[in-house]
Amino acid sequence: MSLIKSITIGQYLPGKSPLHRLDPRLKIIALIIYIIAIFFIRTFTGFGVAFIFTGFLLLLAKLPLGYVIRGLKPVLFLVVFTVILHFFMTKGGEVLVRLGPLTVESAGVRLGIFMSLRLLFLVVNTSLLTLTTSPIALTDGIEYLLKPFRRVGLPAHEIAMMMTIALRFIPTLMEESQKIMKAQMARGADFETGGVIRRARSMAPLLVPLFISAFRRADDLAVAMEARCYRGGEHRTRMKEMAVTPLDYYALAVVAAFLLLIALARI
Amino acid sequence: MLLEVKGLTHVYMQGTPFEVSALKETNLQIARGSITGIIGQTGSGKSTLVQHFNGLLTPSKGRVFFDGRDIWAGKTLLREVRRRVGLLFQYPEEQLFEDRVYDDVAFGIKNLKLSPAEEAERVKRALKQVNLDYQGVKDRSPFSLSGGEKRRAAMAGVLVMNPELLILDEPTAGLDPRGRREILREIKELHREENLTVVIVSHSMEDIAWLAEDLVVLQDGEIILKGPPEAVFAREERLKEAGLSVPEVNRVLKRLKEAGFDLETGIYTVEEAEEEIWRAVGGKSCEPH
Repeated sequence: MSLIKSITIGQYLPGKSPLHRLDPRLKIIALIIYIIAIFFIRTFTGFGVAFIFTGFLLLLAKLPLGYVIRGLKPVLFLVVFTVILHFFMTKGGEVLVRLGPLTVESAGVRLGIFMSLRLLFLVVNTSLLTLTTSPIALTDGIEYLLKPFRRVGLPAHEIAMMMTIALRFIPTLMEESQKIMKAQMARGADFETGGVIRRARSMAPLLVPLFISAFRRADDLAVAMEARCYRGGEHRTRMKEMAVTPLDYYALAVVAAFLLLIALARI
Repeated sequence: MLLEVKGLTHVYMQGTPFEVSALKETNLQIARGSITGIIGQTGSGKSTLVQHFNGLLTPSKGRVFFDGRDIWAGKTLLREVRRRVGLLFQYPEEQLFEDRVYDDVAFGIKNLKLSPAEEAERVKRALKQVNLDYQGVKDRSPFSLSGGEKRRAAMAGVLVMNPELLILDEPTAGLDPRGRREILREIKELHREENLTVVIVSHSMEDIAWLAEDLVVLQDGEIILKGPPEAVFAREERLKEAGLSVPEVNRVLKRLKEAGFDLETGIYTVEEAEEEIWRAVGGKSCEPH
């Protein structure tokens, strides 16, 4: 249960910061640009720029720093794993440490640090998007950005609607699974001990009720949507129209400046 | 004391922006063989409180003693406490999962390595305690039962462990009047015949008035009133502040008194109120009970 509680990816923290007020479309595009840029960085100066940029955004978003950092916990294992793998497997440069047949060489150290930094920046900035953007705004943005692909048959609205519903039900299902878990623990279920097979088998008392209730919820939702005459995306208007404001232009300028600095740092 | 709670505080999502403190410095004692009703508005901390009784929730502060021992003193103890304290959650029929009612009820004792005959005996007994016919339901799918039957099957799944303390979180929520009465009657019987200690959480003042010998009233995570039902219900104003009320039948009596009838208004169950009204009008109940 502690694992479920520590997941902050995808969580939204309501607020009124400039970052919260930005157009979701712009935030999504900026994130994509940022992710691509991260993989072009090849020097420590470049990572310095990325660090300052990210720090600037974090300050701007007025998020509790401890909360953001705690969100990194689930990827920590991946980061450590990457570092170790690169330290020992990537060869080149001087030999720094020799442990029997294993050697740690400078190219490996460099690449290991780079890769883990990339991973961390990636996660922090992605969660920055979800932390400052409500799920509804996020899917609205995605729907808009997917619109051009409708010509090739992509059901943009349906995809966005599915995402909205999925995001909407994550907390509900988590709550539900905790409740069922507790109820089964109260009558002697044990989810924590035993080998892989025993643990997998012990999931049945959790999963069966969870699926039953998920199907029932899906059914209820479908009926409720039909009762409100929902019939897909055709001619559908929004309660909140997305609009570009001066703030979005400033944000665009910041992203451009970031790209420029990254490009300069590469030289 | 069978159960004792000392200075219990519980904070949900501690250290996040969503932090809520659901219980504040709560002290409570549950005597062996008692029936305690816990009432309070939605969000007053009732469910949080009872989930500490069998160690499903870890206290943020404070301690919980079962049978004189701190339940968080060791892992083995916690497992024992979970067996000796049965907790029936709200809408317990949602946790049914096996193909057969028998297996679902037996789930809680599967790890005890009982002989098949012993196991069957305990399942039979548990089903009987909730008035379900063993032969009739044991091979049926729990999902084919009616709403009230499902709930009772789920209750049997807790009773099969022979708990010394039975906690029921809103056991009558969402049932029709008949299902309600049946469940309440079964609880009372269990208490009377097996001297089971019961804690019942409820929204319904009627249920509580009929069943409980002791009342605990919660508001915003704090116990504001404690005592026998007559004493608690006498504090009508304080209850209203906590978003609660007295049983409807009591209001009927008070109105009658205002209208000039000479009767006692400190009565909170329908049966007693009926008798009192008959007495006041100088007649006799025509139907035998």
